[in-house]
Formats: sequence, C-alpha cells, structure tokens
Amino acid sequence: MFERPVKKNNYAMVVVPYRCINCGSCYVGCKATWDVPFGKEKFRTKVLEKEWGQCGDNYDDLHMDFICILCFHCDNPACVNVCPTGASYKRKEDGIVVLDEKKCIGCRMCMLACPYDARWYNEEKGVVDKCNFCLDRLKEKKEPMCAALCPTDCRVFGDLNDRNSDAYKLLAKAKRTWVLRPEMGTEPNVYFVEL
Amino acid sequence: MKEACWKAEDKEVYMNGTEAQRMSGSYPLWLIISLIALAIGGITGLYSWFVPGLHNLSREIITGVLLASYTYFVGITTGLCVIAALGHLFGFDTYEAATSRAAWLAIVSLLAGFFAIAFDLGHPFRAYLFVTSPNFSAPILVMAWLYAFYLIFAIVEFILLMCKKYGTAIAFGAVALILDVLARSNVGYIFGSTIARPFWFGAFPSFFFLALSMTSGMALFILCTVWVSKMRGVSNPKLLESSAKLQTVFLLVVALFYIWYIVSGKFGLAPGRYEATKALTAGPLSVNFYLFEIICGIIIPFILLAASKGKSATVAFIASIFVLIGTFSSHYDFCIAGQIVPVWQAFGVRPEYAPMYAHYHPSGVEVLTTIGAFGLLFFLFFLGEGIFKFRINGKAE
Repeated sequence: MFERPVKKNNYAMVVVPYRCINCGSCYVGCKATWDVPFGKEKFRTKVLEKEWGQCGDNYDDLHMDFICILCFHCDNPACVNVCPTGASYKRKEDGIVVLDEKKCIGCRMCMLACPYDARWYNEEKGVVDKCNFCLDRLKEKKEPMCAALCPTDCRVFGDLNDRNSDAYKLLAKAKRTWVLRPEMGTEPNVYFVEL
Repeated sequence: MKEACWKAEDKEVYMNGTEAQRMSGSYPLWLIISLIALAIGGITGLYSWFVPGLHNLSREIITGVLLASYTYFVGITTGLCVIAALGHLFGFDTYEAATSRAAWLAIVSLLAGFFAIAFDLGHPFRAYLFVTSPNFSAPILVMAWLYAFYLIFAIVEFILLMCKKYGTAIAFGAVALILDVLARSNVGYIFGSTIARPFWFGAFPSFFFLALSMTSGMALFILCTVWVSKMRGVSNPKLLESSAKLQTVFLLVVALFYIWYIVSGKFGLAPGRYEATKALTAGPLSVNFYLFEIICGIIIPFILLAASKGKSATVAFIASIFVLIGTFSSHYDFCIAGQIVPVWQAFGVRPEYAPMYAHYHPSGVEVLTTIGAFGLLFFLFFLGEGIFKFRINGKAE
C-alpha cells in the first residue's frame, strides 16, 4: 500500500465543483502568467463539462458538473516515474511536481502516463509543459493565478499542514471529499469537495 | 575455390579470401534509390526540427507514426539477432551462411529505428542526460541503456565475424542477443507501464512485440537474401526453405496473439480497452487492421509460404514484402489504438472535450521521415553487401 510522503508544506488545491460557473478566468490567468500559446490557451488548465441526469418535462433532473483539470501534483506521480532524465520530478519539501525544461528531451512519455491528461507538448520549445502551482508566485507567498482569479472561490489553494489555511478548513468541513480516478493509485493533491 | 556452390562466372574476392560473384547491374540503381529516400527523409526530418508543428500530433494523439516506425525497426533488429544466433550460437548448419548478413542487418535496422525516433523527440541531442541524469525507474532509460550496450556488442560481434574470429564472435553474439531481447521486451514495457492507457497496460505488449520481431526480422532476412541472391545469380534453397517454414510458424504465433488480445479486449467491456479494441475491429483503424495487419500481414504470406513450402524464392520474397507491410501496420495501429480513446472520456464529459475517438493521420513530413528510415535501412544493407560481400551459401570456417 502506497503511503503519502511527509512534506514540510503539503500544498493542495481544493475544488468546490458546484461553485464553478465556467467563466474561464482560470485559464485566462494561466495563459497570461505562463505565456501559453495561441490556440492552446486551455492546455495548462481547463474546465470540462459533464452532463448527467434525465431530461424530463421541466428539465428538473438535468445537471451539469464542471471538472477542473490542472496538474494534480500526485504523491505517486506516474509522469515522474517514466521520465528518463529526471526532467519531471516531485519536490520533496512541498510535493509540487515540476518540469525542468532544460532536461526534457521531448519524448512525451509523461503525457502518455498521466491519467488526467494534465500535460501538453510545446512543439515550439520541443518540451512538455504543465501546471506547477505557479511556483514563482508561491515564492512571493501568493496563491496560483487560477485560484487568485476565480470569482466564485471554486479553486481554493493552501497548505494542508496549516490548519488555518482555507484549503484545510474546506476539507475539514466538507460533507464529501473525493479525488479523480483513485483507482490509478496516483494519490493526487487536488481534492474535490461537496460542502 | 572453397565454395563449390558458387557458379557465376564473373568473380570478385571476399575480404576473407574466398571468391564471390559481382552484383548485377541493378545494384547501383537500388543503392542510389535508397540513398535518395534517405536524403529526402533526412532533409525533411531536419526541417521538422527547425519548423515546429509539422507533425500531425494533438493533445490526444501524443506520438504517431515515427514512434511506431521506431518500434518496428528495433523489432526487426531482434528478429535478425535471433537469426544471426541460429547459425553460430545455436549451431544450425543451415544458418551458418546467414550469420554475417543477419548481424549486419540487425545493426542497420537499429540505426533506422534511431533515425525515426531522433526526429520524433523534441531534443534528441539531450540523450546524454540518460547518462548524466538518469531516472532508473523509467522504462525508456532502461531501454536506451540496453540498446546502447547491445549496439556495442553487436558491432564487436560483426567485426569479429569479418575477421573470422568465430569463437569470440559467438560470445559477443550471445551477450548481444540477450541484451537485444531484453531491450525489445522493454520497448513493450514502455507501453505496458502506462496505467492511464488500458489498451497498452500490462505484460502483453512485451510478448506481442517479441512475436512481431520474429516475423518482421525473418521477413527482412528472406527479402534481403533473395534480393542479393538474384543480383548475384546464386541461391541457397535449403536456407530459404528452412526460413520459410520458420516464418509460417512465427505467423501462427502472431495470429494467436491477435486472437486472444482482440477477444479479451472485447470481453467484459473494460473501460478504455474495449473502445480501443473496437477502434481496431469496427472503428477508424479497422481498414488498417483487417486489410494490412491481418490479410497482408498474416493470411496472404501464410498461404503463400505454406503453399510453396519455401521452394520458390520469388514467392518467399513476395510473402516477405506482405509481412513487412503487415507488421509495420501492426506497430502503427498498436501505437495509435492506445491513444485513440481520449483520457478525459473516463470522466464522462461531453463529446467536445473527449470525442469517441481522437483523429490522426500522419503528416507528409512524418511520412517522408519514415521513408527516410527505410532508405537508411536499405542503403546500408546494399552498402554492406557491396563492401563485405556476405555469403549466401556455404559454411563459415
């Protein structure tokens, strides 16, 4: 059984799906911050739409869920395990999965291995790119741009080792908590909650 | 004259002192054609390095025909490595004359695979990081190391064969064979290790690729041997007959792999794998699957070889072309089928985010680069035949 590693900072994103209105602020902020190329604006982070329920007379039972996609910074990251040069690695101090562009050979094995399709290939640079929880902003004690711009507080970022963080509080009071594709055994650090 | 079977009149001298026949007039023509194919592929590949976006890849189809070509060519290497070992390592007399040619073709085919993958990678020159910054949990790293060591041993083996130091060559050949089989099965594991791709995940790709290696390696061996035989006006009926019989057995083994993988893929509606299998049998890859993989790759060559019993060089030549086309398609379809079902489909999202099947067809640049890899393979094959004048008949001393 895989045991999650102990980290100095346990950064995580807590997503409250019903708060999402799919306004696109998250990917606009991401694109502006990370210079994601034209036509691939949603490649670093994206909101997927899922319809469910039955279409009755009054459409009362027809629902739409929004699923936020970003790197899930798994504790057992499949992408890191398959990277031949160590370009993809998980930071021991905070668990953030980052990619060193200078070491990436562009084999795209990490993309094939990711069960969340959270990575993309930047053909112009010949390297893979991914969300890194806006590492540069974290150094300035700022939250990732997608969370900062989210008008409905759907994406809440924080350190789960800090009991006063919003993310920790959300997880603590949630009626239900889940992660995507738990059967993959990747132990992601992006949680979905129902309040 | 040491080899009584040689009967052509126009003779030239082997490097080892025995006499051989000159190539017929078509030899320079084929050498030039393959060089042109290599040049076109090389120039196109280099162009794609400097102009991004020429490969028809997408968010869903992450890697295409060039990776398939790589797996195809390195697979041929394994089959040829086994054929080379049949003669001098396992002591099958019939294959003694085949050892040097098979050993040379194995090296050449690996280089063709490297050619294809070099133009698939974003930064192939950073491969030095495999040594300076290795991640030992990565299957690609293990494969790269195994192939690097294999290449060293295979080249030394080949040099020893050319120097007639057969005893030492056997030792190097044995190590090369082990390394190559490990590397080839590891290529399968690269696919098999991806838990996110149900069509690939598991041990199947390692064994399937080894089986395909045997058919494709034997096909290239028969094709090249018959080709050179025709050019030189000599033949080795025993070798041809034996190879054809072995090939029919290999084809049956591959057919069994197909049957059970397709049946198990359809059984139980396993998410991801079922849809990918359906893409092969009744989806966008079905023409490739039935026409090229099954009919061209297995049924026609099996019938041809079984009917002729290896007595006809021309029939064996044609059957080998079919097998080479079929196995290329097998690698291509396997590579694409694993990616054709978008990952996000597992979330049950709307079709615009995850269509039933992702679309892919190789771009012109990808096709030309692949042709370049074939060009490299056949150019070095013909060059080797011209320089080393491998035996078609007779025994090593």
